[in-house]
Formats: sequence, C-alpha cells, structure tokens
Amino acid sequence: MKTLEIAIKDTLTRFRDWKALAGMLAAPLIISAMIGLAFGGLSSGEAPLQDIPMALVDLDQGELGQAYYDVLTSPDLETLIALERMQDAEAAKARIESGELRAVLVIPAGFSDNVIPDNEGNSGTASVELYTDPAASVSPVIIKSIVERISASINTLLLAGQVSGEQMAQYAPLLGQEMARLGEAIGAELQSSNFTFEDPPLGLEVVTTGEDEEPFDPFAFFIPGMAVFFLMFSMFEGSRSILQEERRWTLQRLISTPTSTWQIILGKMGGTFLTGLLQFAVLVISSSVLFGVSWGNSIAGLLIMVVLTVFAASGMGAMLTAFSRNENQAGVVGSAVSLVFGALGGSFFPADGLTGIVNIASRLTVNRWAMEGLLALTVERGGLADIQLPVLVLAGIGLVTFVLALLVFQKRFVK
Amino acid sequence: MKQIKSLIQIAWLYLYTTYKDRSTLIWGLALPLIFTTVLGIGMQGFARDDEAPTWQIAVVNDDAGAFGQELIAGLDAHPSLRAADASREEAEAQLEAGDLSVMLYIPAELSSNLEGGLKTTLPFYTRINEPLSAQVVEQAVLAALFDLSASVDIANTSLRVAERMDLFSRAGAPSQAEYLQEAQTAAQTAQAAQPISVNTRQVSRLVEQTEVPIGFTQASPGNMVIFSMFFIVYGASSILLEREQGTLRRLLTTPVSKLTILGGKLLGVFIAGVAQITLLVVVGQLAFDVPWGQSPTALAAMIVAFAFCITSMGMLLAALVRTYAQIDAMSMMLILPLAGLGGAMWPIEIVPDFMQKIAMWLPTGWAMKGFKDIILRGFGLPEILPTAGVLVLFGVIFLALGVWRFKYE
Repeated sequence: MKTLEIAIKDTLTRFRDWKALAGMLAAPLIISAMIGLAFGGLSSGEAPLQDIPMALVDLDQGELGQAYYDVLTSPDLETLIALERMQDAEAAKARIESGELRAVLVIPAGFSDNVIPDNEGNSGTASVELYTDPAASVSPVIIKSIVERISASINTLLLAGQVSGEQMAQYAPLLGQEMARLGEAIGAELQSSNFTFEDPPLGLEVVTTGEDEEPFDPFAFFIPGMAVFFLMFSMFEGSRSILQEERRWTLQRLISTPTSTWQIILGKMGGTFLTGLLQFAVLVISSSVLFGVSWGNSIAGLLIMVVLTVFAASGMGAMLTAFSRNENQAGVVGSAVSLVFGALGGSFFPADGLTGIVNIASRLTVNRWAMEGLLALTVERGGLADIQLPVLVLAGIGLVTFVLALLVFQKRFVK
Repeated sequence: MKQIKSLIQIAWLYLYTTYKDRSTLIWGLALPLIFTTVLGIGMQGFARDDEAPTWQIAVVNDDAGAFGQELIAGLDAHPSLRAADASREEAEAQLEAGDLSVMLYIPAELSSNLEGGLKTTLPFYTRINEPLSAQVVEQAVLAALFDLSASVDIANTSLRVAERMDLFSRAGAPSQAEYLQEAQTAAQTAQAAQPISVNTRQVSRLVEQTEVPIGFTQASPGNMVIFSMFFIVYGASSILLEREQGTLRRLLTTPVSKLTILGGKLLGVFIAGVAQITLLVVVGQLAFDVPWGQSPTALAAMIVAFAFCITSMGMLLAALVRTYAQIDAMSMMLILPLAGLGGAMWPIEIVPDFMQKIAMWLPTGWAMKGFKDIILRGFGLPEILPTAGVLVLFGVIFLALGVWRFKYE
C-alpha cells in the first residue's frame, strides 16, 4: 500500500512540473509535427520533386537551342522543371553556387551551325554544357537524364538525315536527275510525325502499385519514434529523482520511518513507471487527435507494447541510475544513453537497413525492440501474433534491469 | 587592464572546470562520433551506395529479339541505375513486399515492333510509397529507350526516304529488305560518332572531387551543428548554476564589473565551443574523409562565426529561463527543432519549398549552408563571408538581448 502511495505521489509531482511536461509531451509532439511537415509530401502520392529550378543559357540563338527550350518547357516537363532563360553563363553558374538553381544548361555559340549539315552535307560535332549543384543528390540525376534524352533525339534526327543521304548517294546512277530532289525528300521525312520528342517509338506506361496499401504516413513512423525517444529521457529523469532525494536527505528521512526500504524503492521506481505509462498514453491520444495518427487495429497489442516498453525503459533508467555515483553522473549517463539509444534504435530513421556491428548494437537498445513492436502495429497493421518477439525481449529487459536496480538500490540505502 | 586580466581568468577557470569534467568527453566527443557514424550509415538509405546515389530496377524481359537484352545493358550502363534480370513472379513479389521500388516489363513484341517501325509501350511499375525513386528512374529509362530506338529510327527513315524517291521500282535497285539491312549497318556505324554530346559537371571549386559517401557529407556537418549546440548552450547557461550556487554573487562583491564576469564566462564558453567544433571537423576529415580542409581560412571563419552565434544563443536562453533545471527541457525543445528545421538532421533538399525558406530564418540553416558550401562547393573565404556574416549578425542580436535581459541575482 505504501509503495503505491509513494508511486502515485511521485507521478503527480512530475505531472505538476511544467518543464517536465515540456520534455515529456510538448517536445515529442513539436518534433513530430516538424518531421511530418518536412516529409508529409511523400505520403500524398504527389511527385516529390517539382519545379526544379534550372536555367538555360542559349548562346546559340539558333534552331537547336530553341529545340532544347521547347522541350524543357513542354507540358510533359512543366511541373517537374521551372526553367528560366539567362544570358550569362557565369552569372547562371553563380546562382547554382548561391543555391538558387539546381542546374544550368549552356548551349554554346554556333552550336546549330556546327552540327546542322551545310549545303554540301558536311557537319561537325558540338557539345552542350550541363552544370549541376553538388549540394543536391537527386534533382541533378533527373535533369541529366532529360538533357541527354533531348540531345539523343536531336542526334537521331541528324544521323537519320546523314545516313539517308549517304545511302541514297550510292544509288545516284539509278536516280539520275532526280537526285536533286533528295534534300527535299529527306527534309520532308524528318518533318514527319515519326520524329516528335513527345511521341517516341518506345514509350512508358507508368503503373503505380501498392495503392491498396496504406500510403506511407510519416507520423505513423515518427510519432512512435519520438515517443520512445523522449520516454527514455523521462525515465532516466524519474529515476534520477531518487538520487536527488538522497542528496537532499529526504530519502534518508523516509527510510527512518517504519516503511521498509524496499517498499520505498519500489514505490519510487513504480512512480517512474506510472509517469512513463501516463506520458505514453497522452502521446498516443494527443497524436491521434492532433495528427490523425492511427495506432493500429489491435488495442490489446498496443496496450501490451506500451506497458512493456515503459517497463523496459523505466527498468533501464533505474538500473543505470542505481549504478551511478551521484545525481550529476546519472544525468550525464541518462542523456547520453537516451541519445545513443535513439540514434541506434531507429527513433530517427528505420533501423532495419542497419547491418553488421551497428545492427548488433541496435539490437541491444530498448528503442529498437519497442519500435519493432510498435511499427508492426501502426505501419504494418499487425496484431498480437506479430509482436511476440519484441514483447518477450522487452519483458526480459524490464525484468532483469528492474531486479538489478532494486538489489543495488537496496544495498546502497540500507546501511 | 585589470578588468581584462579578470576576464581572462574567468574564461580560464571555465575552461579548466569544463575539461576536468569527464562528461565533457562524452558530450563533446563520444556522442557526436556515435551519431555521425550511425546516421552517416543510415542516411545512405537515400543513396544506397558509397558513391553517387543509385537506384535498383528489376527488368522482366519477355522479348524474343536482341533489343530486350540491349535495353537491359543500356539501363545498367547508366551511372545511377542498377538493372537486374528477373522473372515476372520474382519481381512482382519483391515489388509487393516493398523490397523493390521499380520494375520494367519488356513485352515479347519489342524487337519485332521496333524493326517494323511500330510503336511499343512498356509497362513501368512503381510503388506509390516511393515516388522519388519512381521519378528518377522513369527519366533514366526514357533516355535508355530513346537510345535503343535510335538506330532503328535512323534505318527506317532512310528506308522511307528511298520509298519517297521511288528507288525500289527502278531496275537494278536492291530489294526493300536488302536496303533496310544496309541502312541498319550504316546507322550503327554512324551512331559511333554522335554529333551532339552532353558534358555534365558539378559547379564546385574543390580542387579534387573526392568520392565521399553521400551520407557523411550530411551527417558530419549535421551532427557537428547539433552537438556543438548542446555543448555550447549548456556551457553558456552554466552561469545560471553559478547564480543558484551563490558563486556569482560572491564574484559580484569583488571589484570586477558585471560585464567582465559575463564576458569572461562567455569567452570561455566560446573558446571551448571553437575547440569542440574543430575537433569534430578534424574527426570528420580523418575518419569519414569529408573534405573539410580545402580552405582553412573559410573553415575558420565559419567555425568562429557559428561558435559566437551559439554562445550568444546560450546567453539569451540563460537570460530567458529562471532556473538551471529549466535549461534541460528548454534546450531539447529548442535545439532539436532548430536542428531539424535548419537541415542538420536530413538533407534540406528533400523537404518542401516553404520548409526550405524557413531554414533561411534560422541560424542552423545558415550554419548548414556555410559548412556544406565548404565541403561540397569548395567555397573559399570571400565566398563564405556573407554566410558567416549572417551568423555573426544572429549572434550580435542574441548577445545584446541576452545581456540586456540577464538578471545577476
């Protein structure tokens, strides 16, 4: 009975403290909201990259320079690329450096004249210069593909004219006077519908799959991630209050009362556990109200996962605190372990891509197992059967750390 | 003179107590290193390769002719793509499971259609949850398709020109099939020398462009920014601890002026901050090959400006909260969102436009811009000064507000 009283009193104290509330509840919600805003676009099924800023510097002022412009501003690419014309290549490149543009395409002077055959059918080669932004990793790849495709289409056109001319020239004796018509015939053929960029002989029909699945909801990943991350902090903070009471001598005073030491310690640890439970419950409810996060279809599964996650986290907090020399050391260790657990355990990005030693280290964290179980419920919409392993591991971690903490504290305070 | 001596003594005292404390080692070195390693590896999920980002594509080839194989080879030759042959069942199962984000189907009639001048549409399967891969790969596949059909296009054009010229009705003329055969050979020969080529290069002043794993060009500056913020903000706010423990009041009874006390403390924090950032830069260069050292003067300017800005931010925070205990909660609430919004946690490129604009109102956004400009664009001192200047400006504002609002008792 005494144990429960102490636990409830501790829990109430924590929830009356606004700065504790800020760390427990406001921080995870604010950070989740921010992450949701940053990655929300990915869930709407819209193309993630739009209006890639790009400039065209057409020093050619000829037919082919115009061709690049026409394609880059065609309806197909309208939403993908935000193209503007610029006169000065150096000024355009400077705008890549300032981060305003992702790419600049420079068509050199005399470009069209070089590659379009003259009256004798002679032509040369030329190159366009594409400058990209080293600070971007995705959009330059897309722009490069598009520019190469436009160049390939012009090449095909030029080579088709060249090959037709050369091949027909072999049969000049058969054609006689009519050879004079060849230029016109080639021109007419190249103008025909077979050579439009928009309608090449090989096209793609984009089929989007996975529409029956739930679209990726960044909140369904990041809310559990942040909830577990900040739970670790408050569990360490809660356990640390035992050492705080030791420093202020209030613990010793409590111990001098008829209540037994283990009851007091259990009450203190229970208070931390209750605080965590309440913190997690509030986060679950407020995130579903504020962000519409669905916590899955299995209420029993969620309940078990929450209880065991808090159990393991509070056990871990209590154990590390029990082994700490003083309040300060416990604070440093607690924050450090919370941060490392968060990074390794997949609170910030999905941990299932980790391999090797990092993966093994990740498997040693409370966060990893908690995330595995929670994501099985929120993202994968699983049930009890899908969380067996995380449930067992978390229960194991909780039990071992709780018992260890209890023994060490007991030894520490009974003098 | 005496005030300056006291200022230096106070700064020295701060540095001495900070580096005597073992937790400095954890916060200043161990944690940032763990984070850089883990997030550097995790971030490569965006890139999946140690070099340039690449995307996997599974190709189901039902084509009987040679063009199907040629297409796969063409896709695989693309620097950003890795194409692999797969059976339809395999590929569909992988797509379903989410192990694969794009799949291309080559129908049986591809080669015959191409040869006959008929249009073919290839089904291209993407996953709704991975629109970014779909966007990149689609453009790359379109380019490969264009290359594939080019020689057929050229040969067919020549054939149609011959038809226009009425060649085949004349005595001694080749048959259409013979002519087309010749045209195809000529087309392939002609394609070896393309009239137009595309030269692509990055706009960077880096002397040599090293192949830094892309995850680390984000994780190294990102974690440096995050942890130096924790380190410096905690340092600056430790003046609250002195106020609570009464040591500040004792100092105030000495002839040393208030501003000297505050200045000495902040100088110590600033020096420790510079040392901390420098340490993480050196580690980033040595352990992760991040090219920090291209312009030491530019780097020095950024480090000093950032350390000053964050020291001032810590001062402001110390002035705004009442007790040292509040710093714990406040710093979490302040530093993590600042880091995320400023682009220290993930590449700013991938967030929506308005979020990128928000970053430019935050010191973290400018810090990340400056540090990335150094490692990716190879900026020197003249180019980096405006960015460093913005950080100094932030710092001056924070410092003025902080000193103005700070309560000594």
